[in-house]
Amino acid sequence: MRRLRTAVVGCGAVSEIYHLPAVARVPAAELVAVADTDLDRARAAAARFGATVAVADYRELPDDVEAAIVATSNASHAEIACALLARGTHVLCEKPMATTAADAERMIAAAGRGKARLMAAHCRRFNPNVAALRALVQRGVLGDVRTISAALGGKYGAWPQRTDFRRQRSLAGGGVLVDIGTHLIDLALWLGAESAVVESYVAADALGWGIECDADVTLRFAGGERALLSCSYTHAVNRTLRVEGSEGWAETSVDGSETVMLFSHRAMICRRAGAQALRLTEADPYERQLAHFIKAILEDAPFIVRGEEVVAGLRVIEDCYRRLENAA
Amino acid sequence: MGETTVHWRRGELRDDGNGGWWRELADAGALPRGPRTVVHLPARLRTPVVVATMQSLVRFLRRDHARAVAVIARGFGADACAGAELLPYSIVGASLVESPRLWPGTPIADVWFEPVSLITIAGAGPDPRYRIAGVLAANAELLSSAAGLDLDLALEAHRLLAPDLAIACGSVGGDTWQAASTSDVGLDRALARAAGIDPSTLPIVRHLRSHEVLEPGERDAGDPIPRLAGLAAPAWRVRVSRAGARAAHTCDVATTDLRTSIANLRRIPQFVARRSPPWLRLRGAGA
Repeated sequence: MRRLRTAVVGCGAVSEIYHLPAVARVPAAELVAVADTDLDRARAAAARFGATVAVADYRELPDDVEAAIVATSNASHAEIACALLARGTHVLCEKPMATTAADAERMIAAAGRGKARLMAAHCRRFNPNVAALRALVQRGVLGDVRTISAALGGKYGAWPQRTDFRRQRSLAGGGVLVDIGTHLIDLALWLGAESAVVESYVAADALGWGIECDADVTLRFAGGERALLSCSYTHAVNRTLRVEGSEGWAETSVDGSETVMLFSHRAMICRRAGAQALRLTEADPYERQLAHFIKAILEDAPFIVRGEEVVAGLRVIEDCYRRLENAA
Repeated sequence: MGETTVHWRRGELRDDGNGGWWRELADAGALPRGPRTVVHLPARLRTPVVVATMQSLVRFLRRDHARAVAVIARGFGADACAGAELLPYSIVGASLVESPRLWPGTPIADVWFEPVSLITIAGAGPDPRYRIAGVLAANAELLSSAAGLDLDLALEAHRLLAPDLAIACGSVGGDTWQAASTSDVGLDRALARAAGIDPSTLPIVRHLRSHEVLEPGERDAGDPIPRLAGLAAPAWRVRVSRAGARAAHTCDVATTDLRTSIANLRRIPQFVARRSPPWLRLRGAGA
């Protein structure tokens, strides 16, 4: 089996807990190098996960690296990804792929100029429960989509993180909306339609960090359907993803979960017994994401996460921020 | 919850150009009205009478009732489906539906997520597991890939895939008979009465009664009820069969539990790693 020589750029919590173990588990990936501005950390990660090269600067990655996972602070994604794409390295870039739509377009253009390809790491699409929910929508089991609601977040610091970049607008590109809300916006556009307009945006800097720490967005799609999205750094939210359609509803966790609850007037299985729990085998979304990324590269197949979708999501975020500025 | 009606008919189904018995059932509101009907033809007790009944029904539905009809039948030729589409029996890519009685769940084929009506046409006969294998037992074939006791499979099939119209048929003393009802339970109970046994002694009826409130009874309509002597297996054979099935199932459950326990133990290192402080996760940093 052909294995893609892979590097990981940025050895923070997301790499250490998810990306590096995923590289180790995906048979088509071979970890050859890691990069981190903290060279000691890069060396430790290399030793632990079996990379032969550890560097402090991504520009020093060996020439034979074929693919790289970029998992650095949000605002650095565009610069790093463009440089890697320019040297012919395929890039799987952590979310948000960029902090502005213009940067995202620049990255897509950089990929278009050469043979290297770019995919945004919207890992939640790769949770089997989320994929199953989308399959129900696509198959029309729920009828016409009317409302998508999703929430994500928790007390800041409740999840592992190495640096505090999310509190700094210059590094994060914004607050909770761009960092966590980007997941929800991506899922809404994936489940609903590729383009939507912001109907309302409410945000609060409850922690006084100069960024929004709570954000609620309502999107309206061309067909009139709505997405109600809520994300927070201040309190635990229910972390659910729910789609209501003309014929039924389905609900699951935004995180990995072994079940999707379904009720559909159309489905025979709900006719007598009402709502049913569809049971899935939980799988690591990072592993599935990386396996898909590499397979698509090796087979020259399309990515599940398309560049246009990412740009559309970033436009939504920009529109939200613009509304807030205008209101101020 | 009122009584359900069981429509009886004796003699061969003849195509009189007017729909015959099927027209009567349609007029009585027993035929499903959905745009697409799936006719389930179980493999067990698939006698020539059962096949002929299916073909007659399919012809009526397509010609007189203007319905899209598909047949789902394991090991059956498309050419015998009277022009209806033959659906594959495969559950590849099926969704697993959580079940209180079946672990890890019940594989449900994609077609059952669609707005279809289901008609099950079953042969009836003695069976040591069900005493009488009627429609409830026949419909359990739709879930045959699930692991569990037969009665649990039948319960799940009744819960998730109860037919809109249940039809049982057979022949006794050279005379054919058919019975139809919108209630699968009602039809099986009617078969028990016709066989001369108390319907409440059917294991599946007892099993269902512990999970849901059953209809109080059923009303017979149509031709006189045939005497279906020999349709029920002796009660002692049912007891022996159930004891054997329970023992085998207990072994299966113990094996599954063991496998699950081992899988859970393997998750512990990752669980610990996720909750460890960074300095512990990257031991050797700075070395």
